[in-house]
Amino acid sequence: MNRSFAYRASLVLMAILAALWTLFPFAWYFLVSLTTPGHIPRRFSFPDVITFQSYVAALLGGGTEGTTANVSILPNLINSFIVAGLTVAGCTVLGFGAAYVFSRGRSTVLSVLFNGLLVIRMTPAVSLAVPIYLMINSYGLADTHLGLSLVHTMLSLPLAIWLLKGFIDGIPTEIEEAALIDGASVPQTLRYIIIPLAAPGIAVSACFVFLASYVEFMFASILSRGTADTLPIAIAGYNSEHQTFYNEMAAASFMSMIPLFAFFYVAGRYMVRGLTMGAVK
Amino acid sequence: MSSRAASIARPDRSGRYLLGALLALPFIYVAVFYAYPIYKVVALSLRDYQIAYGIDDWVGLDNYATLLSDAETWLTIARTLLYTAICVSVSFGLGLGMALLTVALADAFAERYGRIFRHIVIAPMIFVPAAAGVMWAFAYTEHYGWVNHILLALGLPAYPWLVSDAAFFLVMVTDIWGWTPFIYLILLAALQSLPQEPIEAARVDGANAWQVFRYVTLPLLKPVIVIALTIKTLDTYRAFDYLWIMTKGGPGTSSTTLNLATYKTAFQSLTFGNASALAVITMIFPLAVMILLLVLRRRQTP
Amino acid sequence: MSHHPGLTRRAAVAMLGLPALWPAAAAAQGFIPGTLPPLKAGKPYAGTTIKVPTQKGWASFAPAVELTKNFEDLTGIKVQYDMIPGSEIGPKQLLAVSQSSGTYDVVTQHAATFGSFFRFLQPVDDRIAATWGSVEKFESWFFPAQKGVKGRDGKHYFVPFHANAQIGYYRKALFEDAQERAAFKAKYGYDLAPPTTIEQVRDIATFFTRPDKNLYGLTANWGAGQGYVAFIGYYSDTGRDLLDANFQPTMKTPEGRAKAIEILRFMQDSIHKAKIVNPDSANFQTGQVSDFFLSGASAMAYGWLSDYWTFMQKPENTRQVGPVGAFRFPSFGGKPAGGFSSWWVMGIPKDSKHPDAAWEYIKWLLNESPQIEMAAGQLPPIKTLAYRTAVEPGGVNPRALYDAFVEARIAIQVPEMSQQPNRKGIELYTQLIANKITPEKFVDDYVAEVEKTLKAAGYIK
Repeated sequence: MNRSFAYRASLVLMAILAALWTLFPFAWYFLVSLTTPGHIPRRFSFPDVITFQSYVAALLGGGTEGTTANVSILPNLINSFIVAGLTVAGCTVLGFGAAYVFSRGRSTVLSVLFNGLLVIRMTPAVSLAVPIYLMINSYGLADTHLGLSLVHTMLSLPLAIWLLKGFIDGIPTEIEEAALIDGASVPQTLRYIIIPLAAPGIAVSACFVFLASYVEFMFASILSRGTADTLPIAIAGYNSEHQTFYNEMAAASFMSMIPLFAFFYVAGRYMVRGLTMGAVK
Repeated sequence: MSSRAASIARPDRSGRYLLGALLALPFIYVAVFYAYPIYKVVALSLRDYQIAYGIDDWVGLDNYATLLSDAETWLTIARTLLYTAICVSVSFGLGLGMALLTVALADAFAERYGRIFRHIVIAPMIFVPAAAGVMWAFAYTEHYGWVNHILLALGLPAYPWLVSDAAFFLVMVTDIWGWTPFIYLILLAALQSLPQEPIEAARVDGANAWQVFRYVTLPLLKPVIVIALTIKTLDTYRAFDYLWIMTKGGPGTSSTTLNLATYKTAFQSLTFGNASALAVITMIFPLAVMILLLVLRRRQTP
Repeated sequence: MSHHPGLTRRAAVAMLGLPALWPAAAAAQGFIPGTLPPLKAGKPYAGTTIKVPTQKGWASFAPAVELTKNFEDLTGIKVQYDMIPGSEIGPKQLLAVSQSSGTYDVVTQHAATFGSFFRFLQPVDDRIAATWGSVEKFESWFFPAQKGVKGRDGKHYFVPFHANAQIGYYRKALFEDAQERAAFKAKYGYDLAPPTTIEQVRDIATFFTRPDKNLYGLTANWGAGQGYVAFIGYYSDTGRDLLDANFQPTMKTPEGRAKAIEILRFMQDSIHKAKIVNPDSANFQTGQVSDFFLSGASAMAYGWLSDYWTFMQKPENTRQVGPVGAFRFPSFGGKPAGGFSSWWVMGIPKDSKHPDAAWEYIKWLLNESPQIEMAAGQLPPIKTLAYRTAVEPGGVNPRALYDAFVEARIAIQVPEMSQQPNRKGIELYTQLIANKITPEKFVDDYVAEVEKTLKAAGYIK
């Protein structure tokens, strides 16, 4: 095997280039987030003082007048969590049963329906924007956590079903068959056998659904009217016609990645499965 | 043809009802929040519907006729396809390269260097897209962004990147930066789970690295590549966040793709009829791709 | 309670926050425009929550938000603000009220986009008369331009609470520097001073543009929406409305067309040819103009700059540029003019769930207390208050703002104009300012769009 110095050196060089490509764009933004609010050097330079003022201001509001937006992102963070939580609940409740039936059932109708999910997943969301906007409004659900989560549930349901089906497929059918033969009812089988065995799968699917809702921008923006604005709306909102609070925007951006970061450690190894809707395991 | 839930060991009648209900619930949901909106968007596309002005008239195919006779629509379609083609192909090239590099690093040094590299490469993925959009827009600002800082350091004048013809392509750079990890992760997982025997056998037969890659690894990866490219293509086609946040489709309409055109027509011009026609046009491409794929798959697995 | 220039806004707000002081202040002035009439005893609206949309990051509205606690204490009404990005504030509210969703109790709009809202609003003439005696008396408090913004039926549908005009800022130290003055005089034959003609703007900007020193002559809010409005403003300054009495676009006449082209060419060339305006101005909104100017990168600035006047009068905020002065931006019509007058107004939508509480809020907002605190960054739309904050000694606004506003015009003429023609105008404008289309193309396409809209709405054949 070729492990000459030149080969290894070229690998390292390429790795450094790749790392620069992915990480460098963060660097300046990160420095800006650590600079005193309202001060951004016009030439590249390290901040004189490293300060977390922008982080504090973004989280709690306040700060020196004219240099911060004086708005806290905490309510937005809470909104994001509520919406994502409701979406997870919706997708899990609606998706689990369907995933079970898809997993265990054998029929042409089922397989057509199952493939149909892929079509739903791939439909451009913006194509549904007008009717969904009208619907959500006519139900009086605009700018409510429930309204947005109903939409997010729609967007993520196919993914949830696909993921859950993949996990349920991995549970041997013998166990539940034995249980059914022993006279267990379907609800009992589900409750005592399938759900516990599929628990890791439910968790993974929940993570994906949560994050999909957490980062969703378009519907959140269309349906936003101040009360239920989610985090992405707040971050984009630092850039206004009147003033742009770059330092806070950067600080909020970096704080907003924490759930994604956590997810990466918790469920990172299932990432590929989620990304490809279970088509690649 | 026994088309019933056969492998479930004959649940009793109430059990079967329950299973039916379990399946029905999500499909009722889909009917309300997907099928109905699809019907509705098609129906609206046949109307001149401007809610803010109290206009709601049936106009048949007028919206489509107007759109399709407007050169701007075709430009928009072309831009959408160009955006998709460039982002997908570059992301794929980069992603594949980095995946191979990861494997090579793990192989030439130690397993953990491969892992560290992987963590670095997927960093853009754990950034909220809206935040990445504002971050990149900031990078191109005239006096605050690092892009112009570099130009200035080289003695060149600062350039108004996002209000120039370059804007559209700069959003592509962001898209590629943000979504390469997606392709990368899929290909990496596939690479790492490849059977080693054929590769070893080829090496023993004296194939060089390129030949091994070209004639052994690549064919083995093909099914995964097809899936990854399909999903990535359709996702890129749907792209909205970066474009909207960085350029709002501008300057002029030079970075307006079908998604943005639909959004702007609907929520800025408030002409819902026109927007619906655009929305329907937008759906054609992914629908065609999906149907084609499903048909092909049917053929392959009779 | 008079406004003390040395008082920071926050301190002023804190003082006014004492509920005891507030009614006393109003009473001491006797009946002044905007005084809140005695409130009904027992807080009849207690427990009501009203939703009020406003713009995100709007510095000059911030004092009103901070003082809202006062209003809530007085009335028991709770106010919930929806901070909407400026570019979405029109469509978002219009969609909401047009669907009778009952989301907003108040509609907050720029007067130029208010036209599309009339059909969804309640007339407020009766409320005005009941509150302030008569509609005529109420009207007499405001600037002339406000008269042009009533409903087509002649009724009032909204109340202005904020006024503004675009002005120029300059760096006093640069303009007063003896060496600079001598060099300028030698080169151009007249004294260096804030410009009073467009030619002077060009001369001064050219004079100060020094790429080696990283200095531009001018920076302006010529990006997207605000840039389009700047153009409309310059065009209004030439003494023309967008439409004539027969609803024909004035840009169709040879003179109107020539003027529009001259203006657009000035904007385009200043960035791309003469390079006396920094290139990112093609992407700037006022906030970025202010940042750029304060970083010492330009000699003059143009935009909705009154928002930053108070901020810029504090030496600690202008270390890089020294003292800042204001001037009326010259017009393309040959004399200093008012520009495009910006009125922000509030009305009550038909679907408001709490119209009476909303009216209480609007009354309160017009009152002296929030108005004077908000004046740092805007002009109170009420003449006497505006005069007090911009002309009288110790005022928080530059005189130039008042002078500009007295002559300012209002661009709203036809409700339908405020949607599609504006969208199209902005789209064309972004192409123009990026040097992708010619001024002639802009004018032709824009006029075509305006005519299309007017035809569809039945104003012209």
